[in-house]
Amino acid sequence: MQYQVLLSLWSLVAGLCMAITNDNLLQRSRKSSDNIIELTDGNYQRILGTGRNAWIMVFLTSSSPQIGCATCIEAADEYKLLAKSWFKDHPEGVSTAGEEEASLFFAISDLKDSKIPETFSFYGLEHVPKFFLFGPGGNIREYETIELMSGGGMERVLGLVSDIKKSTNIPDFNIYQPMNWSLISIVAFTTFCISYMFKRHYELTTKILSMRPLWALVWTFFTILMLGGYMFNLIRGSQLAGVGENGDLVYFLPNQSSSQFRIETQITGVIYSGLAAAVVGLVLAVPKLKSYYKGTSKSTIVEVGSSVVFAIMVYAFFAGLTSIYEIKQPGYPYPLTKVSSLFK
Amino acid sequence: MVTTGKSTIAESAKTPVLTGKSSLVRWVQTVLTFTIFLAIFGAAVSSRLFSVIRFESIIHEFDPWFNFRATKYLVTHSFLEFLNWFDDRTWYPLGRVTGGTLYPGLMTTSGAVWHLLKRIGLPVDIRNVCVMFAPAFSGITALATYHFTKEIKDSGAGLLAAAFMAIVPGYISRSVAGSYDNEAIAITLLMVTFMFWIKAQKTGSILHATLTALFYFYMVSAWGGYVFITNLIPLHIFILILMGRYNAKLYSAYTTWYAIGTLASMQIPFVGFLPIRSNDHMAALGVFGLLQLVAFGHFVKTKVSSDKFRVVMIVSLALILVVGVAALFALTYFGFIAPWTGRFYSLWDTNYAKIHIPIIASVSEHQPVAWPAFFFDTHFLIWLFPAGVFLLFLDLKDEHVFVIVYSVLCSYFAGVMIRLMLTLTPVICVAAAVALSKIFDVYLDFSHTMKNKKVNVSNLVSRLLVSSTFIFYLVLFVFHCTWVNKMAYSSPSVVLPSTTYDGRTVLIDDFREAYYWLRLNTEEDAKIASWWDYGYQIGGMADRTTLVDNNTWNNTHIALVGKAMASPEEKSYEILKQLDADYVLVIFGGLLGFSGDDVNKFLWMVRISEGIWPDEINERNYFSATGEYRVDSSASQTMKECLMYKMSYQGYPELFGGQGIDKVRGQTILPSDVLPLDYFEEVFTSENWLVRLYQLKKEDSEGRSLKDAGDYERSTTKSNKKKNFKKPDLDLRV
Amino acid sequence: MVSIFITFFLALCGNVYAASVHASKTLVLYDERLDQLDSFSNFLDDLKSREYEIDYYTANSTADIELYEGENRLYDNLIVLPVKGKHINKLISDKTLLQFYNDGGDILSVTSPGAVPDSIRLFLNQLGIFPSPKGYELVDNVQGSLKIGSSEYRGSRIYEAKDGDSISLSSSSAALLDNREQIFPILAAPRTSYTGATSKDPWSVGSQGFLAAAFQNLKNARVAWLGSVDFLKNEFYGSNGNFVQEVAKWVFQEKNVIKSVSASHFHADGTSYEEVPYKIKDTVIYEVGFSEWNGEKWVPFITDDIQFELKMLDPYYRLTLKPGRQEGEVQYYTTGEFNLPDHHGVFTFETDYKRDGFSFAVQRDVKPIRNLAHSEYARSWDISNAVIYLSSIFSVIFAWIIFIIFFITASPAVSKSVNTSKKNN
Repeated sequence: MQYQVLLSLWSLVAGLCMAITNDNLLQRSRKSSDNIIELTDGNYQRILGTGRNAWIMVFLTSSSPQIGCATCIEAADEYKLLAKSWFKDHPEGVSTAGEEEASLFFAISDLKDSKIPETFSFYGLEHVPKFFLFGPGGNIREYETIELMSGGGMERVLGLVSDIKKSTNIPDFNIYQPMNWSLISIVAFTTFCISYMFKRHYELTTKILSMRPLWALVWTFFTILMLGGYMFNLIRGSQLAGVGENGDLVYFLPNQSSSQFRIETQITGVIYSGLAAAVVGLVLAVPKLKSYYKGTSKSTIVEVGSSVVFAIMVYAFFAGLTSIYEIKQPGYPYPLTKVSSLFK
Repeated sequence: MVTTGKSTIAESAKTPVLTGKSSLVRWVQTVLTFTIFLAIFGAAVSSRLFSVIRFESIIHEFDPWFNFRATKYLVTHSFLEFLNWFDDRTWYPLGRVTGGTLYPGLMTTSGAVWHLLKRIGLPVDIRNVCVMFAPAFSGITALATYHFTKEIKDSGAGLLAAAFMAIVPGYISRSVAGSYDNEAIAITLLMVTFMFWIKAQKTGSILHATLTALFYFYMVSAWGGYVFITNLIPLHIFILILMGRYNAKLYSAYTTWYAIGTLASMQIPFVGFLPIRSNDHMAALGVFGLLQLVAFGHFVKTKVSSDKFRVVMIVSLALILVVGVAALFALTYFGFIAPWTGRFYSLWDTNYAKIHIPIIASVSEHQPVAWPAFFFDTHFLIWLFPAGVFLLFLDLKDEHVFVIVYSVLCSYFAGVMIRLMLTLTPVICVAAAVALSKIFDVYLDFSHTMKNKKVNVSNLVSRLLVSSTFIFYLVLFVFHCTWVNKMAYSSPSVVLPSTTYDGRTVLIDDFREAYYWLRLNTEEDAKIASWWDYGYQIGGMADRTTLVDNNTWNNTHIALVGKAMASPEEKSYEILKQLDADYVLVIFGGLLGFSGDDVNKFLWMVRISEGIWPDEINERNYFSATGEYRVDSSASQTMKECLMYKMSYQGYPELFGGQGIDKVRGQTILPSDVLPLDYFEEVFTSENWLVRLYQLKKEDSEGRSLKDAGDYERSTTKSNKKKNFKKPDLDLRV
Repeated sequence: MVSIFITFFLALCGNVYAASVHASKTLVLYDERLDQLDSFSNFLDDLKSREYEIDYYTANSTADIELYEGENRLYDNLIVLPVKGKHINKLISDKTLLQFYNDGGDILSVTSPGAVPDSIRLFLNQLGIFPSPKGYELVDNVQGSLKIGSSEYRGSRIYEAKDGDSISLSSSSAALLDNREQIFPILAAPRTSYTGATSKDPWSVGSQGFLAAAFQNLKNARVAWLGSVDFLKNEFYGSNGNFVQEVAKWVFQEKNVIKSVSASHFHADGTSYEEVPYKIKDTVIYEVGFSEWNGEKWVPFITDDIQFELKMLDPYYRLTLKPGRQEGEVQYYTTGEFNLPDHHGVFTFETDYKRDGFSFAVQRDVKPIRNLAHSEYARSWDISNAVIYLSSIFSVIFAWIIFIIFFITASPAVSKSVNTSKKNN
């Protein structure tokens, strides 16, 4: 009996002593370059479950390839941006702009390999990614779930920020998008090159600009992109590729003819280009070759050979196309590889 | 066919060759062409008859029901009455100025056909005219495509294009028998207009340009997609000018078309002053102005030295550009020109609709397209198409520019919105036909071989190999098209095919069952509240007044119905009473596994009404605690209390003796999840529970809220006794 | 509504001299253990003199009391006197009473402090009348006796009190009323009184409580509740008799019964909607007739507060009707000429006459108002501002013709330039 009283008294005192200060949290965040505290089995009880007067945002995620969570990987980058932007404005993690002083820290719990972190079992997680926002106080069970919008990118980051602002009453939380230096430099470089070309080699540039095959290539390529569902990827923000049950890569979203991965556009693009090239080859290249070798002994061989090669190319690519279409639409009755089925 | 100027000369140039042949050959050629066209027409019509054969001669889907109803109105009333039709049976109580808000081309055409048939002694039911309308016009489309492609390449390519057009699934999807929609006639008119345009721009003939304008007018009267022509033709001209290919022919063709076409299009009441007031039409006006300037420039050029001319031209061009853009912005800013419509924005800024106009984003026709859909709709044409575009680039005559611009623009549009697949399909057929006919020109041409006495066997074999593979693909294409048409595009979606567990095919006819129930059992002026998808069908099949329908012109009214569906009963009752509704219709697919039901559409109702009443409706409240859209025990309280949920699942668990399994969402509904309905009364549920009808109860004549009345009815005497001995908690009497 | 009119009609044919607008088959339920029928003889005789056909049942009798025969209501009126115990009878539950009432039966219910059966109490509760439970009694410590003066009368349409009128009772219960508009209070408790029971919180205080209240449902069936049996008793009949008879007349539809008939609307020139449908901004007239039952026959109903509404979601017009012609038993009220709104849609033409103490009279008609047809707009030459456009059109046409004439008649060009445009591919 006495022991129990003592024990509880001790725990109370210990609790008070153990209360985690903002400085402590700040130190922990500075450990990582991203200013995000890594939650481990050892420290999560202390960080989340002891008295403190700071808000803590926790990102529960998995970068493990076995889980194959593509959203997690996207969200992780966005989370880093979030933390970075916050500490850029508030190096101490404290905001004084609101009615009350409020501090906010960021933490992450990542399922990296097969071992499941204790946090996951503690909160009974079934799905990742999740965002929990812990208020000041120190009750480990008391938190707010922040919803993750389905669309990715800046829109989602801003959504998160507005949710955080709403919950914490912190008015000044701005996002600083990292400068995309590579894009800027590429644009600058190409502009420079083009204007230089235009200036120095006026004749040449105009010649290139009025080169019909170039334009033809550009616009044909554009058309092929569109036919490959490029706009679908843009609008729906689809993933690059999927991950199968065994952690292997899945290129084609099976059984879904009204949805696709980003990589499908690339694959179909290659196929369409190959087919179009073969057709153009049949129409243009073969007669050209023929007239080039006209009169020589090779004439016939070249003509026959090239046309047969192109025909086979068409057949091969087309067969490929129908077989990947069969993945999207199981039971498609006319794949080229099973032509015999036609005549049954 | 009208021939003028240039084409006549071309014919006469051919004549020596033709006269060289015997008249028998010519005769055979004519008969052959005629037979081919007859065959194409037959193929076009018959491949669209699957729906009639597999189901019945019935109007399909949603919008066609309105068109059908309007056509019936037209043939029973005079044309002027039709033009001034105020429809008090839709959009109750606002009503719809139907005559002024529809594209009358489709109805007037089928009305004319009906009258014509009657005149020649063939009294046909108007329904049959409407059902067979689209297949018949697809035959004409094939003919127009032939002439169009003939202008692009030659008659061989034309025949191929016509054959493709006749059976390509991308076009059939909107033109099967019974699919009585604006697109059924619009694609025909699109191709005819383009055909005349190509002729006009080739020859500069005013006659052809006028015909272009007339068919453009016809197109305007038939489909809102006419804006596509309004922008494509100016773009064609504009690019030709940029390429330095201006000539007097372009001038006469374009100005004639623009002047007559614009004036004519303004005669359609629904279009009215849009051609001079909306940004959608400004490109055409701009190019019209530009063309005058360019013509003037050409005139000046003949008078002034070229150096001076260059300076003058550069300065004036810059000036015009600045003034023009500034004027456009100013006029838009001051409201003289209407800004672009929402649908137009959503075409360019793909996220616009998602954020600003949920009602546009909610329509399934406005979704982006994944690649399998392209293949599904066009089979091997899809890869002949880029090749065709490339080959056309290498020739690049003026008319080829048109096809290229059309291809590039439309492949973008089709990628953004699935319904625009329809406008892409014709150009796919044309470009693919050009590519294929070029292949056949090379490999199917045995004249050389025949002339030479010495036969080069290997050469012949390789030619035969190439051409036979392509002929094989053609055969495969036919198989593919037939399969697609049979599989996907012939369901009327009013009657649903379904397979029982023992493999028999049965038809689910719940929709009509419910609509006929309404027709027979309700007052003639009863008002039916339902989500807008079913408005046209209720109007057409049940002949009852609806609150909202597929003509989504009033977002607020739709949001009001959405709010009624998403609110708790008492609030819904209030809204529906204010709207005078008598019945509420919901579609429930849980028993059948029909995924297009109202519970799955429900989030759109929430979103649309949230757009108007963000304080009262909040999408997040309809998700479970874990952020999922659920309908079982873990559904949120708001979800369980909302009218849509209660109506969908009322009595459903009891059907299974306690545990209702929703086959669409794969979740289990318990009796405790489904709260009782006090304000509504179930009056009808169709055989497969697909359609459920509820009647609004009368107001309680004792002035209690219906919930109190319901609680009282459910209560036993015992529970009353205990409760009511307490002093009632009343407001101060005033 | 229709059923009520049929009742009215039948009543008119079958029972011409009856005082009530409908037949007067009446059932009186009483409790022998509390009061003998003789003590109410004055009241009942008064009813009989107005041709009421009365059946009696004592509540605790073993006989079955049937209010219904199959689907048919057997009685038009029901008088429930205080009954001891929890139930009136096995067959008369609160739900039966509510059904009887909903089917158009009128009920006069009397309770007393010692006799508030559950079925009556629950029934009244559904109407928003909450009589004090058994054991509670109205006490007036200032005055001592229960003598209620004319200042406590409410609902002048049911009983119009004259100065000096008063009600005397030996004991009474009081009821709380909720805020429903269908409740018409008749008699409030004195301001100095309260309703209480020993060792319990008071039920009502002062004029919060009511000694008599009336209720009329949307089908115009009526209920009156009296808080004391003394209202009807012979011994107090001298002071209370007049009051009670007026309440009985009201509740059994002898007075304050009105109906609205032949609501119609038409163009100002007299053509009806069926001949020429309305379009926006048409001038139309709406009229509706009202009659009142005076105890013997229908007579014109005269008032000045009837309002007409033209609604589509919201009211576009709310007009007070002016009295017009009188035709036989009907007084017509009319809006006079007014212009329909400049808004097309499906409009409701409605008079919703609901006044304290009177029958509710609602007339509703839904008619579409169409937009202007293409030929009904002003023509361009009628619009003075359009002159400038018209003159410019005609001047351009004129100039064009002149140009053509000159072009044709002018001498042909001297040289014909051959334009050899070469395509610069």
